[in-house]
Amino acid sequence: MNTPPVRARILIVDDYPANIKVLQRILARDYDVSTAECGKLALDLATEVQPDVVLLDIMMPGIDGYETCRRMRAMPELAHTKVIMMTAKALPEEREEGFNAGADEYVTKPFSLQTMRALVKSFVASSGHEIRRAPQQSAKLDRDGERATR
Amino acid sequence: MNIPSQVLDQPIPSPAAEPTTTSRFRLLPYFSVTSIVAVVCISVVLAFLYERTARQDLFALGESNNVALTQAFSNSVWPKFAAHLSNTETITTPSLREHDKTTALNGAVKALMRGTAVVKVKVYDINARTVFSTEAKQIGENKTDHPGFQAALSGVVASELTHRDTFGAFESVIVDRDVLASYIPIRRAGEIEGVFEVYSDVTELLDAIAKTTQELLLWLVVVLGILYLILVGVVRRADRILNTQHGELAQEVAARVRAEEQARQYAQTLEHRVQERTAALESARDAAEAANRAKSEFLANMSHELRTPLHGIMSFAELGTMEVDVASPEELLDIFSQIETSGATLRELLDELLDLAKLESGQYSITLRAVDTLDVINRVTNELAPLVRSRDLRLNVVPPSKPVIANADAGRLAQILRNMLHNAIQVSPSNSVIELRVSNAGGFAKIEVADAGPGVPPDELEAIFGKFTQSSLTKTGAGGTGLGLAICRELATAHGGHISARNHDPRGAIFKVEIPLANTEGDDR
Repeated sequence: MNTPPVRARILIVDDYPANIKVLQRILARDYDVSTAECGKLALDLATEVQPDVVLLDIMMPGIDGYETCRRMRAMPELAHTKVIMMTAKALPEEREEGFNAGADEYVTKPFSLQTMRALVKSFVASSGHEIRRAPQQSAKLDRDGERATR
Repeated sequence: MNIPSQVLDQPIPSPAAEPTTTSRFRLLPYFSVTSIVAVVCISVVLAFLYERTARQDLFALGESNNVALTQAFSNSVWPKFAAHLSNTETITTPSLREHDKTTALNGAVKALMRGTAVVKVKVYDINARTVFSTEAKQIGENKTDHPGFQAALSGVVASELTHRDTFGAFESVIVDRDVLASYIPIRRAGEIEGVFEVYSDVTELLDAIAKTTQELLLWLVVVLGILYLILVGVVRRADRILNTQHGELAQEVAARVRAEEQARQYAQTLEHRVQERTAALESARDAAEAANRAKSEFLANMSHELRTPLHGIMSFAELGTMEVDVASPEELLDIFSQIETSGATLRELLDELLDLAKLESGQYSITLRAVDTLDVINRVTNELAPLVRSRDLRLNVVPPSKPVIANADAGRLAQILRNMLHNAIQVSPSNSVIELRVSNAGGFAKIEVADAGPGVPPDELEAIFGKFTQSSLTKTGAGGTGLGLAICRELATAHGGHISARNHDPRGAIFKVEIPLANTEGDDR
């Protein structure tokens, strides 16, 4: 039986549509990609899709990236989610604040798309999304197996 | 500042030690009055005592004289008349007055008393009947109740000093006399046979006493007066010395008080200066720190602002490279246009930086002409119309009742308005209205842009016009370099105008720029 591999879920958050667009283009082939243009929308979406990796801009209207990250970290259902901050804020103290807010990685703009793709890939691999989502699938398989043996 | 240390070291006196408030004891007047009273009292008392003593002496002397004369009378005259005078009960008063013995006695008495001060003599029998008097009409009078007579009858000499306006003397009636009358018992063989009354004239003696008293008083006044004057002189001198010393003391104390006041002022001034310097240094330090912070923030901000469009350029260029073989021409066109947009943003940022650099170094030139503000407004609003539409905003221009002609550089005025409107667009939420009003206000063309954004915190209303500074409420979301309003202020100032911000109800900020009006035809200058 050849089941299609479980696709990881990526959430891209940036108030600048062009940035979303370019990231979407390089990631959509391998992952399920959701996008949000502000912090509030990102939090709503995260609750809904429970992404494995979030690419999070910092400078956004309303709730900024730091605060968005802090709130995500306070949500138990996002315990497994990896957050990569991608921002033009390049000062060491800004970087520190990013990690303090709960980011797993901090990438300053401009960054290479290939590097970002590799980074996402490694975070997806370490997120264990296949195992987490497996029980549902294995339960389904078990039921199929029971039906087959009857 | 140079302060003598001994001045500062002086102790501060307690207010109670202040000498100028206590008045000096006025010795001379007190002494003058008191001693004058003393002189008068002493003189009067001494004169009085003298007069009393003198009168007592006179009294005693007069009485002893009278006693002596009576003794002489008793020895020489009385024996011849004693028998007659002791037995006159049977003789009537008129007969007694006319009696030979009376006439004889009168002659004998006058002979005996001649040359003495005695002016009258009377004889009483033990029954108090006046049996003889040198003043004949008094013969026969009864003296029973007279205390002097009663005293003499009991063996004691009694005298009294009286003033008589008229007095019947031996020879004639005398007037205005002081008379000493003595009642003296007449004894024979120890038995009192009668009472003898002798009147001595002491007027002259009393006059002498009075005169002496006056002289004494005069001398006392003169001597005590001289003494008084000498003492006054001494006291006056002492008073002057005291006065001088008091004055010197007061001056010294005043000088000390002045010195202390000066020291206090020095100390105050010093303290004040230290405070001023400290405040100035603190404010300079704060300003330097603020400038430094602003500079650091600006650099950080510039870094962000440069990185964002640069990222756009680089990421789309990389995407294009990655997908050059697979992408459709439309997709490639989109990638290139994204690169172009980001490049344009980058250029705009660099232009602003250049503008600010020029403004700061004063290399900026503006050409002032009469400009219809509404023309400039229309130009800018047309430029920004697509952006306004894309954000679902509405821009409402309220035109003036009559043309407002400013003395302005049209291009720079447009730059100011563009910036103000751009900010308003950035901060206003979708479906809100941005209002732009033009009016003529006190020699200025006033243009106000009201947005529906979060407003500006009151303590930042002025700071947002500083270079590199953005409102804390829009810093994160609205983008921008923090240079726009700084450039606007520089430009408004270069026009001779100004720009300011305030908040309005229920929500949003109003940015107001005022540019001087152009000289119109109505102006004759």
